[in-house]
Amino acid sequence: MSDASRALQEPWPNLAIQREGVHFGIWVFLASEILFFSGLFITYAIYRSFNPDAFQTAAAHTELFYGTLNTGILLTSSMVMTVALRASTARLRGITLACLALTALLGLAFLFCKGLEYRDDLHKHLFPGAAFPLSSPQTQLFWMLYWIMTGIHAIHLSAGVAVVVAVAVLFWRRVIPVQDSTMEGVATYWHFVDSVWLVLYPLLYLVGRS
Amino acid sequence: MAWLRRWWTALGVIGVALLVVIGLKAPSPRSSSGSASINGTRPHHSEQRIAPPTWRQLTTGPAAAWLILLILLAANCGSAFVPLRSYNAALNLLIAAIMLLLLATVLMNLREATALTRLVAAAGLFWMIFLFALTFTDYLSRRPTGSPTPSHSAALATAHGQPGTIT
Repeated sequence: MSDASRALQEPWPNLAIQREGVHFGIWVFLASEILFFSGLFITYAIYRSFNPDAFQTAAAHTELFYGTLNTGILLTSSMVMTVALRASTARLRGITLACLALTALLGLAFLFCKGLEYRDDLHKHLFPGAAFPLSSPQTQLFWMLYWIMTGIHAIHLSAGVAVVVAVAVLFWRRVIPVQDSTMEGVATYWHFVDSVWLVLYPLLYLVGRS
Repeated sequence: MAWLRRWWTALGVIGVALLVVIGLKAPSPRSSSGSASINGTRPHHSEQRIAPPTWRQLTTGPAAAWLILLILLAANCGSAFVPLRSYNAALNLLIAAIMLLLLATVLMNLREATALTRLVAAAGLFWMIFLFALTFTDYLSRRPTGSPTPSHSAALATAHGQPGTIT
């Protein structure tokens, strides 16, 4: 059995068309994800439109350093993931595996920084509740959205890391050959999670700085 | 509300720009770079031998996009400290939209995807724009509770036959 036939799944006649099917399928899923995150974005927009001053005050307390660092980490991971996809298209096994491992490590680095940021936030009691330090009650709306939005994003990224590791292991153990049909879905999902963060970054970290 | 109107306008422009870029006709498959296109016309993998691309061919495009993205990130972060009042939000979202476009076109290869795939991606954005448009059609056309317009108060007073006092 050839490498190509081991990677080929029903009902696709060849890997090129299978890759298109994967790309199409993952975008159907991502289109629903866009609407899912849109619900959060519009909740943020409505609350901010009615409490502009409170949002300015509350957002100024987010950790800009961690937010910017994490954005840089995710952009780097997207670049590495693109190289992995290109390498898999050319069936370059070593480069593909190395880039997948690096992508997973960058994803874990993001989660680690996020954990440090959460620790600092909790240390400052910036969690909606009785001990919340800011006087205006509307500021808690921002921080409620902050925890929900970053938390959901972190869950998505964790899933991405798990999928990247799983595919890397499948490639490494030669369960399936290194090829772009499998990589297409993984890469597209990873870039999408990165894209969501690019929207979250100005909404959560850049408000109230001037 | 002026802040929100500017932000809403920026979002509309961003959404339309994203739809336009996604709707652009995909370029013809590249055959010289060694990294095969994902276009459906590509021959079966096992049917042709392509010289493996060099490390430089693999990384040049993504690395250039990555550098530009980092510069845009720095610009976005820096611009937040410039006092532009309500325009800060619009500028930050505009830079974020440019970053998204770069990510989608260069790193996600959306421009090289099939028309069907690009249509699905555009559909997600399309419905997101509808979500924002219909929601803000409501929220931008009324004031928050506690600050009714004079005409609103008068209308309520007429309807209830007594002076309109809304708290």
